[in-house]
Amino acid sequence: MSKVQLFVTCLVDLFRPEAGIAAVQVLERAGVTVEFPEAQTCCGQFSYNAGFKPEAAALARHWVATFESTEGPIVALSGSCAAMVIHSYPALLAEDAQERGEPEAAAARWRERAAAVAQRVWEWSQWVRDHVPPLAGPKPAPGPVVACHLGCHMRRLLKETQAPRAVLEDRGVAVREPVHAEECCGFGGTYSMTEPVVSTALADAKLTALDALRAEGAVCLTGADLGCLLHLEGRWRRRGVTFPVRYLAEVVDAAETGHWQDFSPPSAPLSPPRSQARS
Amino acid sequence: MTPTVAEFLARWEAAGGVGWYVGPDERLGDRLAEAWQRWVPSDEDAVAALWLPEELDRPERLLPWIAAVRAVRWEPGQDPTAYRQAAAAAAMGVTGALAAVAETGSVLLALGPTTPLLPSLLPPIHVAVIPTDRVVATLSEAFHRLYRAAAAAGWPPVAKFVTGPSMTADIEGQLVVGVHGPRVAVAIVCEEPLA
Amino acid sequence: MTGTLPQDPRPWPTRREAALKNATMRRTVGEVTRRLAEGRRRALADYPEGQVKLQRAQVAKRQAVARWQTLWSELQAAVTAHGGTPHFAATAAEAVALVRQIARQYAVRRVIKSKSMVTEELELTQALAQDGIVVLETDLGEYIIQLAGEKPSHILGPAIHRNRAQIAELFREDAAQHGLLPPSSDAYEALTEYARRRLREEFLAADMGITGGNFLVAETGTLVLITNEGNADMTTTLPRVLVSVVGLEKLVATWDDLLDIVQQPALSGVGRRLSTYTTLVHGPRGPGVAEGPEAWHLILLDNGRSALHGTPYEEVLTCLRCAACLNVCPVFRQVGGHAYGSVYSGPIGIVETPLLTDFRILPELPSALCTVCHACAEACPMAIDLPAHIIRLRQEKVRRKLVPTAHRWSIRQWAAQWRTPAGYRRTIRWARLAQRWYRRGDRLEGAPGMAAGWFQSRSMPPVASPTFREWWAARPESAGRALR
Repeated sequence: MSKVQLFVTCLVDLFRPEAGIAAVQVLERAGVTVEFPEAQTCCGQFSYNAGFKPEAAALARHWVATFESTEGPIVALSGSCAAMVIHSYPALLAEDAQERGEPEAAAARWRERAAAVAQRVWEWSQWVRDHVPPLAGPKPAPGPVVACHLGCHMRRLLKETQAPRAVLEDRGVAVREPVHAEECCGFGGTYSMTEPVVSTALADAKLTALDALRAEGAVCLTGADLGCLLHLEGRWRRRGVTFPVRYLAEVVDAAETGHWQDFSPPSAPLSPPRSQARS
Repeated sequence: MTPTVAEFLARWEAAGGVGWYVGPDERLGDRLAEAWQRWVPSDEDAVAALWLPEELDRPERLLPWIAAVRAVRWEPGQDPTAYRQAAAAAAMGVTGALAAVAETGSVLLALGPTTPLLPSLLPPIHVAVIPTDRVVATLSEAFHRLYRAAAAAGWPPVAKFVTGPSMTADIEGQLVVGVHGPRVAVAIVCEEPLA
Repeated sequence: MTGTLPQDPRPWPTRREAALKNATMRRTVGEVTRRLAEGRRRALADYPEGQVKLQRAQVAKRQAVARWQTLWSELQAAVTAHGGTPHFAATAAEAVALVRQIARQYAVRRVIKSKSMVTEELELTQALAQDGIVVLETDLGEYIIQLAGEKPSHILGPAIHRNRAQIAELFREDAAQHGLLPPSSDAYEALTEYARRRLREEFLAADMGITGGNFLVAETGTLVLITNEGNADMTTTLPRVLVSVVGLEKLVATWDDLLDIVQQPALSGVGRRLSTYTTLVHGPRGPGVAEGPEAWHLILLDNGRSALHGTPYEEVLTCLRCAACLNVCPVFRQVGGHAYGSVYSGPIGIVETPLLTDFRILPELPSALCTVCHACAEACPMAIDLPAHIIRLRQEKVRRKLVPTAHRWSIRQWAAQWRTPAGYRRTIRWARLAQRWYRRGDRLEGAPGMAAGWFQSRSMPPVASPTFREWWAARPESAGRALR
């Protein structure tokens, strides 16, 4: 049976462990062995995008050292963090080594190590789509509708726009994206803290687009990046809206178990709990 | 009509222009008269600024239109300022062209002693007349045609690819035709008449 | 040598607030940029040949930027052979002095200009006005903002921040001042008709025309101007003197290179295979020719550009000014061009402004106006890696201590702790203690230091108990992955 290494990300670990737990449960339900390298902390993207290169490199070195001693695919609970490892690590670690005065060979070695471990990285829904078949039995009649926001790095660096939709639709969940879905929600890592005004203007534009989906009876907002989701949820809450916001795996888990009680009451009846038998 | 001509006319129209085809048994002058009637406000003093290549600039091809209008032409040696004022006052400009490009829907014009560009720019209506053998499939062919012409006779001070009428989207992003240049841009692709 | 660019004297928060309060501007900018971005997508999808040409153009343009000095020598020879006069201006001040001198030489009183970003860089209109010369912008959008006393807010649509009622008001005042009939209504066509009528007389009366340029072809001595209105064609053919001021990055080597690149501004900017006018200027009129200038002066401008030669930023100079990056930028759609405070706005502006001026003006741009969403990188026809340059400029800001001390301290602490699992666990303990002060019900409503910015407008869940790793360690069936 297959085995994966879970890269939960700092945001899931600290602020939404339910997302990680759901991700584990969906995988284990399918018979996948999940390992969690407990030394992992954060990929360093916060520092990197803010221009703090040596600081980002320190976290990146720790990440590489943590995961390179493991085996099998590394499944990330964030498209953006997966993109950081895949797209930024090799050059970042090589340049940082040079800038710290290490010999050329050492810099090249860092590039190779980063590239080798990066090759094993998948965003969670990508891996699930390709390796975890949906439950057996006929597809249920129209299931709940969810609103889905995909992060920019998932979309433009991983070039992945279909996997979240596929894993949800395979489980009878109808997926709707807001108008101008490709527009950034304004999170941007530390940008959300250092430039809160523009960041919030972008959030408000995204929330306006999502209102149409709430009106259509979406039971929650979901997505593959907790950064965007916390930003949008936090803005909703401050405006007095308590619409459920769930990481993708939580919705997949609910679809597989039929436990929809934490979600917003939909306008249409939900599909009944489904058999857990697998083909 | 060849596919290249058809594509040119379709793309010219997609760019906001009006594209006509004059077959071997039709008279160019009839279409010019039609354009004149359609777009020039009825005014007895209306003038056309005109130049055409020699093979087209003949009464038998330009009638009946040429008999009904006063045409201003540039003659080397004339006063440029007077010509400029006349072209600016003209109701319609009629010119030939070095080439027409199917790929982009463009007409290539080159300034020379017998080929002024003002009739294509100053009047509110510009009609470009292009013999079929000057319609090329690709922009590349037109570029190379211009390059070869320049190698032989020197570079024209100004050459231009015109693609449809003058337009702007500067007010609220809304497209409006006819800002500084012509608001109506007509391209007439013209076959050799039957002998 | 470092260049100079004009800047809006208002600080960023003032510019930002002005922009966000301007609902008309935000709506118009949002609509226009989305329409242009959609036009680009459709035009490219329908035109695979354009992609093939583009790939060659990217290579050719990078090569041209790298060897601009050689190409400039070739171009000077070709332009001189056509009867034109080439000049080189190392700085903005030199370029302005050259234009003023040319205007004096030809006793110029009235100037018409076609749209040019470079002359905005030079503030040329203001400089000529000091000599008593009347300078009129002739691009409709530029004319509108000239009347309003503003700067362009978008490379292609300088006046897209104004609505037509505001424009009609400007035109009515202008008509009254010049004793002309005002526009017949506020309709787009009526406003456009007024501009045509008003500027037509100016075109015919002007002594000198000033243009920028989209490309300069070294092999053939060609200046290429890409426009839609026809004003550049008037500017290049009606006045007796023509002055073209062009950045040195506009050089391309050969006629065939031009062929590969000439469609790209229209394809990427407005979604057309060619703009209405692609005008190729080679020199003053010859004998017996009805139109065209009697003299053509071409000024090649450096103003900080050549300093990028041989740096990781060199490819920035391949920018075509197509505005595709502005049109897809979510931040641009919110705040519009004026909020940037620079002649160059949008993603390319936040890269170019600090680069051309060595961070002397508007150092906030790379940090405050980008979420690193990568939409610009996807849209750029020249494959300029704008997000990478933005991050590199942020790194440069950290090195030059242009980042608030509190941010620097926060991120350094953060990274110092999280490079080890023990440090990471330590920060969880700290956070659980600290969050008692900020917790309201099930949410956090505040935080110290850099994170305080988040809570200006958003709440957060508190640090969970248990965190995922605590849950993992405690769950009976895992009891640590080593036992599996």
